[in-house]
Amino acid sequence: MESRNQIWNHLDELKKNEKFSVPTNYFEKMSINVQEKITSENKPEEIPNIWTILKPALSLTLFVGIFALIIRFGLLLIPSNYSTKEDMLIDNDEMLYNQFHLIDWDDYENTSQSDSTYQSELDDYIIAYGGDLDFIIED
Amino acid sequence: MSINDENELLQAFKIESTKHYAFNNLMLKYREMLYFHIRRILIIHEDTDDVLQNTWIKVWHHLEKFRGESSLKTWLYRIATNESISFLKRKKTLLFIPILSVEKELSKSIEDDVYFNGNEIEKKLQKAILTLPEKQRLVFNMRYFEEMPYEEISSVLGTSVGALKASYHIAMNKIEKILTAN
Repeated sequence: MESRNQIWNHLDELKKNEKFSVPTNYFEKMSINVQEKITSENKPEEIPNIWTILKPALSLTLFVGIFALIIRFGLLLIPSNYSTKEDMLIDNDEMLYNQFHLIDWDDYENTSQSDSTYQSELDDYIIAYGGDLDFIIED
Repeated sequence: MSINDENELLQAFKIESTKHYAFNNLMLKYREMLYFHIRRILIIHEDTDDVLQNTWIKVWHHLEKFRGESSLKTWLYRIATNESISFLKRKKTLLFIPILSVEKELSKSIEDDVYFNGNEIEKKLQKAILTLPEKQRLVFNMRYFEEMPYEEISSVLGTSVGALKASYHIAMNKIEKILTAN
């Protein structure tokens, strides 16, 4: 009991002086910091004008637009052998016609039944290009 | 305007032209008291500084709503205490420190703290206080070091006077045991 009281008496003596300390001029600086924070919080926020808000969106739109125009007109600048679209279609038809009619039908007839690779390729070709298989056989 | 007259300070705070002046006077009156209250909870000076500044900024924002139902000192202590406890909780969460280890960390920091001028027995006392549960620690600090009446502590912590007396008694016994064991 006595030692218990001794401890507290000793501590009571010691607690008269604050044992935690602070850096020099801490309280003055702290007060200034708080005031500065409060002042900066109270500053009215700058209201952005309409141009500031729209600028990024307009820039993006402009960029996409220019890019689209480059793609659109850039393709037209690529040199073409055809003066019109019709010319191009006629040329394609001619090519198909030639492919079909340049088949050597003698070769086809002479082809043995065992040459299935050649025959199946020919059949595929006719089917692919809309040919009438019955007509060819009859012919 | 007298720095000691709280009513005058509060009235001056409500007027735009004297608001900053009144607030400065309020800080001048209570800044040290609040600092050491927070410091006893957080131990580390840098943490205390952060929390103290946040406390004053909260006071700035809410002082106009202060209705005078409790004393201004009690109201300030309540904000400072809540801010300190929230800070400790955030520290535990952010640093992924287990709840029991924060107090161990603080206990270690007493050893290295250049802003702690106590002798060995005072260091032991601080370490012993850190072993107490949060509420007991708050009660012990406010009662023992700050010599606050139980009624004031009750107003700060929102706990009945009877419960506070019991907490303080338990805290004293625990500390005694630790100190006599060493």
